[in-house]
Amino acid sequence: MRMPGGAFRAVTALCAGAVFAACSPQPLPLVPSASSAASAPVAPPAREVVVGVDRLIGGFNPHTLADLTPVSEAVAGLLLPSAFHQTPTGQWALDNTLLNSAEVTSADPFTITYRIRHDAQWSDTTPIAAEDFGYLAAQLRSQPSVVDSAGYQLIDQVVSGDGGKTVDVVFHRPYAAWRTLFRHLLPAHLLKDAPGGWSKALDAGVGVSGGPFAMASVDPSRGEMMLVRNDRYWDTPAQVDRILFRQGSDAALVDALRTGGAQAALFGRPNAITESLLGAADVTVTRTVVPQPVLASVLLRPASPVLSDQRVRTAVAAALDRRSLIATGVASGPSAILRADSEVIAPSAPGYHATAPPAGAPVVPDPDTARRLLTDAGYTRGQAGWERAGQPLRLVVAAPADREPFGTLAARVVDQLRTAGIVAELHEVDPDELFGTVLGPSPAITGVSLQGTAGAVQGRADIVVLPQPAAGHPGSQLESWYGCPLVVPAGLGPAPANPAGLCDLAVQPQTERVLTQDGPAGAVPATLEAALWQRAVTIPLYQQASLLVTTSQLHGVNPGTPLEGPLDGAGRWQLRR
Amino acid sequence: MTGRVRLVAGLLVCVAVAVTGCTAVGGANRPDSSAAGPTNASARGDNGDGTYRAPKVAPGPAIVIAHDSPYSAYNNKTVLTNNNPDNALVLNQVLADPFIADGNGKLLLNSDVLVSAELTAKSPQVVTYRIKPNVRWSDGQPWNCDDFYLAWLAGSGGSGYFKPATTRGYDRATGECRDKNTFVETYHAPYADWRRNYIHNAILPAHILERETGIADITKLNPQSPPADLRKAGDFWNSRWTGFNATLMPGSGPYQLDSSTPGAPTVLTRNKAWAGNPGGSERIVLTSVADGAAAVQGVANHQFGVVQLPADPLLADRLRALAGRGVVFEERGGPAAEHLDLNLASPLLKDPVVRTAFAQCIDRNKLVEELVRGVRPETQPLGSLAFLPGDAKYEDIYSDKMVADSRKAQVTLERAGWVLGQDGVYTRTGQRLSFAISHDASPGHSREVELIRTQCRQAGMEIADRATPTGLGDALAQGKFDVALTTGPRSPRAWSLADQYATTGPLNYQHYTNPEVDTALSVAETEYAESTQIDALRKADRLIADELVSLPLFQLPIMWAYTNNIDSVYRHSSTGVTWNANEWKVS
Repeated sequence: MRMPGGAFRAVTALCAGAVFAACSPQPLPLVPSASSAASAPVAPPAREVVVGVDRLIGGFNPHTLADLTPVSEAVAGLLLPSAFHQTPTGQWALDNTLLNSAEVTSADPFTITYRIRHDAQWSDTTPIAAEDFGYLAAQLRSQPSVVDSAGYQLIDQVVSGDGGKTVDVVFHRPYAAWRTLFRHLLPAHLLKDAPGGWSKALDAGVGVSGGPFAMASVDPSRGEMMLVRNDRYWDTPAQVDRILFRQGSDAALVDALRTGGAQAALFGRPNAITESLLGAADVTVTRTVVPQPVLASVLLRPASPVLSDQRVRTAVAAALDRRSLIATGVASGPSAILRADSEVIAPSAPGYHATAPPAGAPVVPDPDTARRLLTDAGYTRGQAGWERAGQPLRLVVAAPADREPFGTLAARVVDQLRTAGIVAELHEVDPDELFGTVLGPSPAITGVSLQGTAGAVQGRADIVVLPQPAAGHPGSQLESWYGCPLVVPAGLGPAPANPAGLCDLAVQPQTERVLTQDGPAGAVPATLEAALWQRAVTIPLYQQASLLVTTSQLHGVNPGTPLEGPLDGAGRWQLRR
Repeated sequence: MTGRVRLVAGLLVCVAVAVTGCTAVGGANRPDSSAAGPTNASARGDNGDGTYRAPKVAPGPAIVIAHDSPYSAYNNKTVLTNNNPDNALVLNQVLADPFIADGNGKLLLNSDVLVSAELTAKSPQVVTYRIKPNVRWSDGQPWNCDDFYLAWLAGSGGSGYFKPATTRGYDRATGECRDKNTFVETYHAPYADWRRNYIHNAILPAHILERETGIADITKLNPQSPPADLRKAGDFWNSRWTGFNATLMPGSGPYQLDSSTPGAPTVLTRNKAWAGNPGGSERIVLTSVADGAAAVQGVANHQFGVVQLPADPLLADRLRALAGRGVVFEERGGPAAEHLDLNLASPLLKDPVVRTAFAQCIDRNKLVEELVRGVRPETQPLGSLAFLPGDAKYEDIYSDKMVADSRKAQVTLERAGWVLGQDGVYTRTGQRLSFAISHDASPGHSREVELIRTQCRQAGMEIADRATPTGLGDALAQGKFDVALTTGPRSPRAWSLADQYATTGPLNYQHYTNPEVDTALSVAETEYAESTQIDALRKADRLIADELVSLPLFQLPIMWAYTNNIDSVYRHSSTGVTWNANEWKVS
């Protein structure tokens, strides 16, 4: 159905702020107050599931690289509504808890019409509406370092109808993978004017919920986070009353499982020690490895003045020992079988196959190539290392702070570079600053092949070790990670560059074709993969994996795909004492 | 046995008895803690002017003291006896000291026997002891300069024929008797801690040695004297003052030895020749009770008036429960601390990354909870190698290093290139992160090592338990260890730090060297101003902490109990409950 023009136009970032604001009551308490509880009749004991986690860190915006952690992904799946869900076979199924329908209603312009359930509301009673679609689309198109922005860059406008319960999303180009959009909608009415906005507003927690659970508290100092059943959830209510996430060491988590102090444990970076502890514990548990939707990757940024030179970039890649980095990162944990040999697709994703070259940089160290290319680029090897015109070859290797294993991998990269005679410094940067500022907005790119875009960045990062989204739609991932910002209609600003600052016009047409014209699977042609390996911009290492361990007290556990996360379906969990 | 090996062995004797309240080498207290502390730690005879005089005490009945091991020697200063705490319990009231160290560590001139003891020159340093005339041993012979001279001659170790537990302090000085009541030490290097040279039972009867060896005048003997004479004197000093022999072991303090035979209590009676006010108790009976439960039962029945027991949570609970039966239980932090000493000659542990990760993985709070808090609930992990909690200058400088976080330890290792293997142990370039902790196989240490092994296994370290029931002496002296779990005395601080961490320290079996530490410790030993000493110690402490040479775990508690017919008993950190037994009012 084609929506009438002007009267219903312009939601996106300008979306009817005043109208929605008027509909936004103050959030109600998510749990009864102590006084009301005291005066109430004696209630049965709460059905509480304790989930141990090895790392409970703040940051709950699942769309930003800065917050891409196993816990934020898990919370997003339980609190934030989505238009579609990924099935285990990789298909996308309408989430009918949120939508009555979603369909292509116009081929030209390509338009999808979403009909939101009238009873779908945030836990503060604000309706889930077109505003939320518009907000998410606007942010993902305009903010740096977000997850899979490419599909959103194709959107021309988001139009609200039916009091916000119908959403027409109009694209300026057809987008076969449109079902991958609008996952984890955010409460626009709270975020659009929130201090710190997009990058900061969800650092401390998610204030409202559109899922079966709501966040009652987050206490990083105690290492605890409490989710409670969202009593305003309009669909099937959660079976348990609350889920308490409690941080602990691996040993503490295993001990809690053994003693009944926890019914589940989510290890975000399990390793051989985790396995050993579980093996030694006298407890029967179910272990499920749930690959995360990200790769641990090393990004050699063409945006860097030094690494804009392909020769230098390849030389640096040749100086690195990828196998050693992988061994460090996987630490003999479940990721050991998830070596990432594709530039775009995660090992666990449908359609994955290895595309890495069998030999040479960046797959295996190649000191001869490194020497030859640095010499070609004008560097000489002095006593102190490689230098040119009296200046040492100096690289800044950055990683998000407090987001292991990235800091560790970055430290190893630094060590390997130093061993190769390259001056390297490790900078661990606050994730918001790294992804929002250091890798953030850059000047518009003109049509120059492989032009660096470092001019406007604050700080410097020649190399970044970071999470690379890799379990979604391959075409979208390809364009989001490697593509130039897409041309957008007049009136909208260009999208920020990808984290590498890469814009390679030689491959851009092929990249866009994969994004827009291929089928929903969005397979990446082998030639394109080969070209990406040859450019040595991203050195994928391995896919991170979580380990979900549950005891027999917990029933109905059925972890989802990497995108849906290990706690998918927690609303159906049942506790048996 | 080399001097170094001998000293190592000496320390380990001390280590072995540490849980019973190990006495420091040279036995002394912490000078900076004098300002604070419980009131019953003060000497009643403190005149308030830096001197002590035994107070008048109403006569009272005999008191029975139960302690751990039997008395064994009158000379408690040899390398073999090495300030044995059970001997000290007996000798505290038998042998007069030039200075009384009260329970707070305050040194008081013993004015019952001395006129003065002063630093009379600084360059070179000269110390003059002026002895009161007519002070006598219980056998009627004079207590005079000859006795000081013998203590110096033996303690200096210069001749090689005397085998003292330590030569520290003595070896910087030359002793001489200006007259029978004036003993003078001339130092060839400054030594700020000179007051501790002759405290804690160091002054023995020279006239007995002269009589028994045929040496006419001990003051004519010096380290360069004919070997035959030195050998005679040394042999006697080393070995003849053991056990009990009334004719060889007179008293110079408020009490004297009356009897002591194997299997029977040691009995002290008032020394009628004592120059000061007599002790209150008619007799002091010291009985060895190895079975802690029996000791508890004895004090419950008021069979024992005082019990000094090893720190034990079970016994502590039982003693606490006797409050309603007229038994007072007390505990406090003791003079010794547990620490892990890392061998920097070890290929693994010379790597600061490994030391850092090892420090990070140990959860000291768990160790304290399981091993110590049952006796002393307020005990916290120890944060210094130089100071103890309660010292005015104590500061925890390890809590940010010993974070009890196995994940952090893993990150530390991984960042340095260690890779976790499938067996959960890190390796790097073929080297496995595997080492051993050596210890003396005592139950407490065994449990401690077991906990540490488990904790650090979670950080990918494979740690072997190298229990050595025969003691660590040889392993340490020969460098055959990776990590040693030891119990070390903390007083006097400058000594213990310098012995262990100065490059040429006699107990530096860890192969540690840091010129800055050497300089700081030298300042601590030679500066007279206490504030300068303390600042230098703090600096050394920090430097050593930064390099994670030793990892402090916790201060060992000490405990004791007494029946409430005694007004007050306080367990001295070095010398035990009898340090002021002459002052007890017993009803």
